[in-house]
Amino acid sequence: MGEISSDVIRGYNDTMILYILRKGPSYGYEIGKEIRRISDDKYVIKETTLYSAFTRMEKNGYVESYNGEAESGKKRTYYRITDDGEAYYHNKCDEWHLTKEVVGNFIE
Amino acid sequence: MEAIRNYLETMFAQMPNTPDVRRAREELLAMMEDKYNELIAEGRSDNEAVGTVISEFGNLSELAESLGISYVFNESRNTQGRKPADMEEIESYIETGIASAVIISAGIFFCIICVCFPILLGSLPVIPTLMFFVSVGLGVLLIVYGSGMKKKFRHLFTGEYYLDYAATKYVTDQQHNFDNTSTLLRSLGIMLCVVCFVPSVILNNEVNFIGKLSLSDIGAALLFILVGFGVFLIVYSSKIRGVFKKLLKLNDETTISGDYSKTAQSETFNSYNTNNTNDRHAKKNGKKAEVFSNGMAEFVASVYWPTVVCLYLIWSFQTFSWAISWIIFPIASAARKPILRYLDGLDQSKNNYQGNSFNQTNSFTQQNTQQNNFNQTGDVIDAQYTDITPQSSGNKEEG
Repeated sequence: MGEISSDVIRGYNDTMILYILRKGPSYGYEIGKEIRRISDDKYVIKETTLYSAFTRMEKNGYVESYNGEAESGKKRTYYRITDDGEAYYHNKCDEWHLTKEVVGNFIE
Repeated sequence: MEAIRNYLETMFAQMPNTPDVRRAREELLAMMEDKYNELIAEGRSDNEAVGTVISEFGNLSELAESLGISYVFNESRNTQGRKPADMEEIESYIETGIASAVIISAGIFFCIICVCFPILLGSLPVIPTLMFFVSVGLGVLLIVYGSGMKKKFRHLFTGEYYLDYAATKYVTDQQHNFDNTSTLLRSLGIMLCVVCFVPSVILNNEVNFIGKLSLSDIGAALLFILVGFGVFLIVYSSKIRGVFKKLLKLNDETTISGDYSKTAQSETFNSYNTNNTNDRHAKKNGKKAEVFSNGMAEFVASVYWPTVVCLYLIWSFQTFSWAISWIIFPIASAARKPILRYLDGLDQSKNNYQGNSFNQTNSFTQQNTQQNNFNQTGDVIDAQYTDITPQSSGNKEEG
């Protein structure tokens, strides 16, 4: 199996990030790592993709950022999901089910 | 790790210097560091880790829209038409700048001490007058020559060049190194100017000392020599400061590497909430050493020196005590900062009370103008090396 085309998956980066944030606040690298782990190493999200998703979702009010400290005392920007983000996540899930159903009709 | 930082710096070098871009740079660096540290902890070699991190970085154009800088990618880079200044040229500019500072200061020194010859050798014919003019001539010659030395670097400042990251770091480091010396030289210079009258007060004796030379003549000559040295030191240190400032001014908000040294301090990691107005203010602050948060202080600052000169002239002409009245200048110079800071502070507390956060940013930037942001970044990175959490899940390489 080849690599996932970034064009196809683009619309669902936000969904993946929100899925992870629903379990609790997290920061950039950890979110990227989780996406990689959950996708079983089949999808590695690029740093720039990740960051532009953060800024876009923050602008739309789906996530909030705040400054936190790691155990080592290193300062990090953490993100957490908002109520709007939660609603958006469910919309995207519904959308995906529909997309899967529709596209699935054409897949051999 | 250095390689990753350089990579990121290169990617960002031509980006506009906006708070959003700076934040993006910080965040991306943090993510890349985390990844790098973890790869190293997994036992990868430095090369391998750097390679993986860079290959998984992505493309900056992805950020363009969310950072509001699409125009950087749409327009051709060449429309900006600026290229990084050559490192060797920068070094040689600094060297020439220092040499020119010495020569100009020496020229001014000779112009000041020229009067010593008639004072000391007044009894001899012709020679003192001759020496007087030789000294003035030499002084003027040196000043003219010294001022002309930097002409060959004029093309650097016509707007075609900017400083890249490495060059900016080099210049700010040099500037930093010179900071202490410069302060010392300047204080010494001011001190010499303040105490210059002491010899003439002590050596107040009209009786001939050697030949027709009286002690008070020597005192008078010493006065000029001390002032000469004092002015030499003051001019020298301010000229060299000027060299660094002029170089750093090659950078502005369109080149991110440059203004880092000055404006980025107002946005540390934990001040993300700064809005645009605030930032513009801070930026202005960074460029000019003094920006006041209230009209009163600004007004006083603008009329300060003219007022001092007026006072000096009034006092001197009223009492004809020219010998002592000049002391108004060192006093005024020393009192200026505290007065302005006091006025600035007055208004600041008032505004803060009204819930205006402008002034906090302001004072913050002012306090930090001298700090070097690159060093700060460096420290942070070193600290982050300790933040390695070994991961057991067997990640396999991408691609």
